[in-house]
Amino acid sequence: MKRIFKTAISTAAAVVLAGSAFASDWTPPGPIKLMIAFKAGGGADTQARLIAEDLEAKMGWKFIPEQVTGKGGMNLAMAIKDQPNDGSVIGMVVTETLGYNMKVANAGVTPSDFTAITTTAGFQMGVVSRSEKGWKTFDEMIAAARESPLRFGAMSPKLADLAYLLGKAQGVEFNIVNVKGGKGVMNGVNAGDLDLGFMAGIQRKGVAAGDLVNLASALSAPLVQTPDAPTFADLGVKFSADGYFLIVGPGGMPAEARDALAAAIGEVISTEGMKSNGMISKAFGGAAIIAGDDAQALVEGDFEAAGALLQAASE
Amino acid sequence: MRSVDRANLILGLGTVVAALLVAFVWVPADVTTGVIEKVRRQVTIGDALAPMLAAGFIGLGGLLVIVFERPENARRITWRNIWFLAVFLIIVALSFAIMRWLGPAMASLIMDSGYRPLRDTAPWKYVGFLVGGAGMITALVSFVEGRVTWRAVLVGLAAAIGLIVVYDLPFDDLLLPPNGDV
Repeated sequence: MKRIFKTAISTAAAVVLAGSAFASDWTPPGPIKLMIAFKAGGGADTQARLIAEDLEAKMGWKFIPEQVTGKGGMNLAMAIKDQPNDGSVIGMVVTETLGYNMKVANAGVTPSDFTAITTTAGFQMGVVSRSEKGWKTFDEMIAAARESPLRFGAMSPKLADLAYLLGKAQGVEFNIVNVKGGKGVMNGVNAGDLDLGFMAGIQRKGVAAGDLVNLASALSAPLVQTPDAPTFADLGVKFSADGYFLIVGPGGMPAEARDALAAAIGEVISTEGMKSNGMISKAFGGAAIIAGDDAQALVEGDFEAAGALLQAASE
Repeated sequence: MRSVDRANLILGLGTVVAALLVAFVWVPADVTTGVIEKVRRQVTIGDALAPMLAAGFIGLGGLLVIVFERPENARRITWRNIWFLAVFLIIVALSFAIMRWLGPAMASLIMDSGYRPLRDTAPWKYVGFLVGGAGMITALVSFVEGRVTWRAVLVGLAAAIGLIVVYDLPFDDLLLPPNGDV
């Protein structure tokens, strides 16, 4: 399945260009409400607002951003579910929202109640600590964890489960602390309230400056910035934090509207000089576009796979 | 028992019953998580905690009224009081209904597209707020004064326009009621 999605990403530009050709006739029926599942001012919120700004400039569409935060995107999912599906209401969440979080919430909805429009960027999810801790490698951190429990910041229940499984695989027990957002984890690590934690791209500048260290990649692939850091698979965890920022709409959105939105979003985030492209390139290592049916298949696959992680973390 | 005592007793009992309904009917029916949740080693505050606490404080308030607030010199609730409250609530309800539905009703008569695509377009986006808001203030002022005056109408219009100037004009991304909900 992963290979399919990687192929999909690599051919994204072609899909986007083709999409913009066949879907260019569609225009939104009035302003588009853009629900954002992330705290105002954070990296994800900035990304969503810059995409809207670029689309307003390029397409002449009007966006009305609105924060609908909480429950790992589930508050947004439940709010958008019954909105008109004509393309006038979309939302930005993460694939985890329609996968793990939806499975755990058990709120009577599944990904098929939503329309996955397109992903915009992947996470560069690392396990990060402050360099002044003195750990240059993951193994050095584990050695310290054997001396005394370390405080491990996680910004979602799925990541908390992954932190637990990482500790279990390494024979240590982390004190897992739930924090609001990646910025919260970074603030905690910088302030010394946390010893280490997950960061999904926000650590880039700190790592480049030498203040922070990517100890491991929580992805199935190495981190772009620190390719030598071991992946979770290398560390004995068969699950990963692979995921994307995702634009969704209410279920049953006409393909014409979905594809036009996906094409327009894909185009602005892939075009050099656009504000969203610049931001995504800096913070998330570039646009990662999985659109339409592929995006729907991605979230439905994540939803099905969430059960295995839940089971493993419950043992 | 004198009727003056009964007034606060009824108020207190009504409040306690409302608190019980919130705690044992509304919250369980509307909130999926409990007061405190433990999910795979993580203890978190459930969604039900805040409304349960609120229900507790409402119930406590009701009990305090029943037990301690029974003054000998308390004034009676008269039919006139109830009439005032009823008219007040009717004015507010009608004004909100106008605020919510006037724009969509007008748009459905004039425009093929209906109101929704116009919810961020002047003058449509102001129709419900202006007429409903100004109407509410005018009606309340007139009701209290016992007469309808041009002054009340102007005060109502000035208040609604003032709110539009403060909350709508400076902000591109803010919608006045009811436009966020249509």
